[in-house]
Order: sequence, then C-alpha cells, then structure tokens
Amino acid sequence: MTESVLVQGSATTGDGGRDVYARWQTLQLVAPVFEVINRAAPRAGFDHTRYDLAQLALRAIDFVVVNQASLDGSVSPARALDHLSLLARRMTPDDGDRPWTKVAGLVLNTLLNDGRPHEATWCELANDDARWSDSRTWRYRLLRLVDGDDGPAVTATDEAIVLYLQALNTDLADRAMALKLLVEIQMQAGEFEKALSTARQATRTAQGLSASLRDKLDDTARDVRSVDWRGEMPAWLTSVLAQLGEQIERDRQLKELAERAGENSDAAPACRRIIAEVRTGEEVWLRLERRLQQAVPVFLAAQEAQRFGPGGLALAIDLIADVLRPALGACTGVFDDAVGRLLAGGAPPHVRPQWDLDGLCKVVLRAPVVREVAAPVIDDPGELLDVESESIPDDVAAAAIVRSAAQAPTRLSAMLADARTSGVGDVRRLCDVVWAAALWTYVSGAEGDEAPRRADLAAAVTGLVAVDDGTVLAEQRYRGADVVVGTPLAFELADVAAEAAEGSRAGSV
Amino acid sequence: MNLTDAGGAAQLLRYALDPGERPRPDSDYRRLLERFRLDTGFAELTRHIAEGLGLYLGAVTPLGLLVSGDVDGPFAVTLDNSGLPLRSGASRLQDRRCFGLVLVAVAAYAYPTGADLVATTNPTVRPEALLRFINTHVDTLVEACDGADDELDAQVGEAARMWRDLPAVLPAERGGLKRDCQRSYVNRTLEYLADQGRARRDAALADERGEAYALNDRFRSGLSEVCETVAFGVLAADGDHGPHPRSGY
Repeated sequence: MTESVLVQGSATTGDGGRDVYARWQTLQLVAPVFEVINRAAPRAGFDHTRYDLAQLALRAIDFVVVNQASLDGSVSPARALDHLSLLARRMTPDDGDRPWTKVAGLVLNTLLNDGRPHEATWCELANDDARWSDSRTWRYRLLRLVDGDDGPAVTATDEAIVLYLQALNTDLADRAMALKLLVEIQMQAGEFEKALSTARQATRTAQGLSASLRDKLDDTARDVRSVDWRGEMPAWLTSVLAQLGEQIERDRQLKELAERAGENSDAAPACRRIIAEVRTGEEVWLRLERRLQQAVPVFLAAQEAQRFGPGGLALAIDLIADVLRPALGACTGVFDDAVGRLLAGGAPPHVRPQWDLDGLCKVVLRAPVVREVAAPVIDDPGELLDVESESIPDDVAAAAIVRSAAQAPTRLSAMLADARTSGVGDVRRLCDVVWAAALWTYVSGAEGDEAPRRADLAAAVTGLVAVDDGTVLAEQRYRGADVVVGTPLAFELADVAAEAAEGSRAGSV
Repeated sequence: MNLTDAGGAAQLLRYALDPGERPRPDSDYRRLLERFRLDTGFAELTRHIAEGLGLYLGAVTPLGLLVSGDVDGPFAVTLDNSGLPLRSGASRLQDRRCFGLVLVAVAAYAYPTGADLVATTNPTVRPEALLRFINTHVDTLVEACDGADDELDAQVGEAARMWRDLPAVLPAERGGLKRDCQRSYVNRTLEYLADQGRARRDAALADERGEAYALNDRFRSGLSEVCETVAFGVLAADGDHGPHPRSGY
C-alpha cells in the first residue's frame, strides 16, 4: 500500500534482499525518535534524562493518527503541542523548571523536521566481481504540517501509521481482515480476553487505514499532482472498495457471534467490550465508505489533471542547482527577471488602491487649471449703518418705565410691576431691559461705563442714580437688591423733606 | 449561465484577490469554490472573466483559489509594487537586490527539489537557518573564484556581491536590527510573505532556534506554476555565458 514503505525490490535483487530492504525501512522509522533522545534533547535546556522522549514521540504519532481517523480529520500544531505538554507534565510533575511545553515542542519539531524528509542511506551490496557498490537515499516523513480547513494541521504519513500500528511490512486492509478472523477464532475457542485484545488491534488497523486514505484524498484535493492517480491510487482504491463491504459484513458477523457468546454469564462482560470495540471499528469503516463516495469529484479532477493534462517539468527541477546557484551568479537583468517571475507566482496579484498617498497628494496639491476667482463683494447701502447690537424692539425701548424714575425716586420692584402691566408685546424682554437699566444706573457712576447704544435708552438713564437701602428684591426671575432709582436732586429733596419731618416731630414732642 | 452566475464568478475572483480571505465552512467563498470545482460551466465563466481582467487562475487550495496577475495586466506584481519594504533613494537598489536574493533563497531552501513542490507538506522556515543557507551558497560561489577580483566580478552576480558586503546583523541603538544587515532582509522577507498570506508565523513551532514561519499551499502552488520559467530563464542566461570553470557552479 505505502509506496515508500511497501514497494519492495527496487533497491535489491532477490527475495532475501527485498525482505531486508523492507525491514530496514521499518527500522529506519524509529531513527527520528533517537535523534530526539541522543542529539536534540541534550542541547534543549532541560533535564532530558527525566523524560521518556521516545514514548512522547510515539504518543504524538498516536494522537495525530487517531485524530486523522476521527470525524475531525486533523489536529492543529497548537493542539498537538498542548496534548504533548500535558503528557510531559504527567510524566514528570515534580520538575520545578516546568519545561513541559519545551519538551513537547522538541518532540513535535523533531518529528516534523521543519517539513523536510528524514533521510536514510541504503547501501547496495556489490557483486563479487564488482569494484564499487551503489547506494541510494530513502526519504520519508512521519508527521507533516499541511493547510487544513481550519488553519494549519498536523497529519501523519503512512510511515507514521505503520509506526503507530507497530506493524511491519503489511497491507493494512489484509491485516484488518486477518485480525477479525483471529477474533472469530478466539471467540469460538472461548478465549474472550484474547479476542478483545485482537479486536482492539483490528480497530486500530481500521483507524490507520482510514487515516491513510484520508491523507491521500486530502493531498489530492490540495494538489492534484501530489498523489499518483495514474498508477498507484486507482489500484489501491479498487482494492479498498472491494474490501469495505467485506469488512462491514465481517463486523456484523462478529457482533452476532459476540452477542450469542454473551448469553453465557461468565463471558458476558468481555463480550460486551468486544461488541463495543467492533462497533467502533465499524464506524471507522462506514466513515471511510462515505468519504470514498465524497471523493469522486477529487478523483475526477486528478484524472483530468494527471491523465489528460500536460505533464509539468516542475518535478524534474532542482531549485538549488537550477535556480538559486545560477541566480547568484547571474547578471542584473537576468536576476531581476527571475525575481519578477518568482514574485508573479509567489506573491498575490497587485491590487491598486483607489487612492494612495501619492495620488491623493497629486490631486490635492496640483496647480488649478482654471483659476478660481471669488465673487466680488458689493456693499449694500443699508448695511453701512450700525446695527443695534442689543436689538431691543422699539416698543420695548419706547416704554417710559425707566423715564418715570427721573420724576420721583422709584423702586426697581415698582418699575418691574409697571413693566408687567405696560401692554408691550414682549413683557419679559421689557422687564429684562428695566432690570438691566436699574443695575446700570447703580454701577455706572464711578466706573464711567458706556451708555446703552440706543439713543432713547441712553437718554432715559442719563442722570439717574440708584441707591441700595438694603431691601432685597422679591422676584422669581431676578435676585439682588431692590434699588431705588432716581435723580440725585430727587434724592436730596427727599432727604431734606425727611429731615424737616423729623425736626417737626421732635418740636412737637 | 445567467447574470447571477456572472455575479458569482466575479465575487469568487474578489475573494481570491484578497490574501486574507479564506473559504471557511458555510461561507460564500466556500460555496463558490465548490461550485468552481464541480460546475464546468461556472469554472469556464470565471476563467473568461479572469482573463479579461488580466488574471491567471491557478489551483484550488484549502486557502482558496490561487490567482496571479498577468505580466501586462493591471494586477501584475513586480518588486516595486509587491509591498516589499523598499526604501527610496540610494538604498533602493540594495533593497531590490537583497530582497530578491532572499526570495529566491526561500524558494530553494523550502523546496529544494521539484518533488517538494508537489508534496503537500508545508515546510518551516527559521530566519537563522535561512540566513545560514544563503551565506553557505554565496560563500561557496565566492570561494570558487579563488579570490581573483576580475573573476569575482564575472562569476558572482551583483546581488550576491551586495549581500556579501552586508554585515550579518547590525543591532540598532534602541533594540532590534538596523535595516542594512542580512538578518534584517531575511526577517522582513518572511514577514512580507506572512503579510501576503503566503506564510504563517507559528508560535507552536518556535523553539530555541528562533521563530518559525510555515509556508503554505498558496506559496508552494504559485511557485510550482512559475518555477519552470524561472529555471529556464536563469539557466538559459547561464548557458549563454558558457560553462563555469568549477564544479557545482
């Protein structure tokens, strides 16, 4: 099934040689685990001897494979990191430095290997008469970082799945069927605990197969050139499709067998667990079947691209030897051309903004084509006159309320009462004018304030003074002293009259 | 096909032109993308509209429909309008050469062979490792010239010479790096790719070796579309200058 793991014989001759090569490949799969333990961990800045990194690596692969075979289909790097951190913490909870995230990152990064394949060199054995031998590099990945529906995702390769299953060079579908047969035999022999263990292995195999297929379909959906749909995949799919029905039927038979065996009270608990295990495996197969049905458009797209489309030369290009090295030595024109072409593919299309800063400045600061001349301002003869800034209505100003104070001293409260009964249109405004005029007469003497602008009002208040005798104004709208407004002469006469009256009262007494 | 279909096709192109847009489940983009994959008529209509606009439609990836601008069209992307932080004035030439060199190096570092461009694995690029990779290749090229100035000029491109003259790092007074150093160009190029939706800074993969940027399918797929022409261009020019008198270069 797995091209890199399971295709045999290309590197060696003879069955013995092929078998060794296959087992050598399986042996190499654990090399990254020991890379963590022997090379990366001692330099990682934590006490690596306290952590079982090999176990963490295996559990990382387990976690990714199980997620890959589940409904979710993939797991994000952050989630994988969290899972491994938790495991590292449980492994050494008393580590005071708390380097669990660092431990998890080390394991995950080593397995991902920055997206580069792990490499192992296989040395061919030379023939007796040959003077040199050949060697070949085998490249494989365990975990891969890919673009998933919900962002970056970590997926397991077939090599990782083989590691997960602890399987050697075995076809996964055949292995699943063989395990189910074994379950049946063990149940018929009454070895229910062993049957349960075998059923669990069968479920794990089903999960591995599902993950492997899902990975291939996802890869094809992502890039139709990534999986060989001309040779390997159609044959593999045909085989899996043929087996799916058999697997589901076999699961049904196993459940019936377990139910019958479960009637025996001694075997009932084990049988219940076997039924649950078989059901789990059955769900995996059913999901796989649905996924295969959904993959028809992917298959067609791949067919179109790979079988009918022109084959690209990209596969034959070595970017270091064919692009980077010549570019480093290229003249300026060739270099610029190469970078331009690279940008055309590697960068998104340039979308011009509606307005950029340069364009905006050009428009705003450009010299006007037609000089704008402001409309001439023509003087209106009527506007030449001064406008009364107080804008006091004529009828308000004409009211002779304040003027009455020139004849006899009058209290402000009396003037306000007269204003309210004067009958002008805006009584409130008249009261304000009276109140303001009384205050003005009170403060104007020493300050020399300007007179009101209206000539009639200025004439009315000229010569008036106000005296505060301590009486408080009893008004809602106005507060302060209830001043007496009058001419200075009137006040003098009033004082003389008051003194005379005082003198006559004293004489009579 | 009717006017509604044309509107849908144009909307799909609008989504594809936005690097930040992704076909999330139950989104309009996902619906249109599925239709593009399954409905030949709709796909043809979209292609016609794209051609008219000067856009080239690439692969459908989980990150969306890949589009690139025709060289002669309004969407053509060049070093000057790409969004790379090029300075004006005397430093502009150096920026153009060095950013260009780092871009070529990112491609070669992340996808050394054509097979890597087809594999759907997203490679991780760490600034420090990329810088080491570039310097190794530039130094190898320079060492092959045996120190002869005339041969250095003839065999080493201007970009590589400019790169070699730069310090590896140049700390700024207030922290960080000044712009005129190799590490700054590497950092800014990777940040640019992340800004353009071609890479992602992945905190989960960062470790003592530094930050990690995971390149995505958009970059890989776009690169695989053009790598043939890029390789042909530089190799043809290389051939015109005759074989290099050294192995490997």
